[in-house]
Amino acid sequence: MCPLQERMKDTMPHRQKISTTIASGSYAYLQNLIATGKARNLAEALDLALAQLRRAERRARLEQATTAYFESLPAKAAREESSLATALDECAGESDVDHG
Amino acid sequence: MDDSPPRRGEIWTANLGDSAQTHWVLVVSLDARNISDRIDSVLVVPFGSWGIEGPTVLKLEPGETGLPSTSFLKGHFITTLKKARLKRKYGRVLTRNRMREVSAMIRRAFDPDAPWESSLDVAVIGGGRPD
Repeated sequence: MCPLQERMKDTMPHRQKISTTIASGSYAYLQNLIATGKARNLAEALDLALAQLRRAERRARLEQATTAYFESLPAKAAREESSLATALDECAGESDVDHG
Repeated sequence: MDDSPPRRGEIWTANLGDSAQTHWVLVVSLDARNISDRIDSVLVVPFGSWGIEGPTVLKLEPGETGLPSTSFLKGHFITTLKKARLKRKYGRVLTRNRMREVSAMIRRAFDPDAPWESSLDVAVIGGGRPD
């Protein structure tokens, strides 16, 4: 293996070989990712599709956790957050964004 | 304000609001800004005394902060504060690792793609071109 290939091997993410079948609609979707230049090959198209799915799941988890936080905040803590927001809002008027 | 300028990771008392009520805040802006005399504000995250942990809240114990009781660092309240409102350095300086957690916590307040508690997500960070 030449030095360049060695370096590429080191920097390439670990790949797992799989062999399976998928729905024709899914296959068409992956092919479309290649046709529109979003992926160079089927493997990259599949990675891209899964990455998008995982990103959507991550976003949903964060949104749910944020909702859960504010909905389960004890009354005392909610009052403190409200007064903190008021205090910070009063301070915000002091900052001159044009002059630091 | 104390003679020495605030530094990232330090906890200070600060007067917040018209009633000038004293709060504890954590300085999170970069030291280049904190020590500069060309800008008169810093970025801070306030502590609360009550609460629960959440995506944008870290629960910190007195042993770590030097504060008198358990406190809740609220990343969703990150704000710009005039240096003149900082009164006194207080407590301990948070470690570099903890400050990394603080940065991630603040990010979760505004970035919907910020990582949040998933070992699967952590495993693929930097691992694939599409993501």
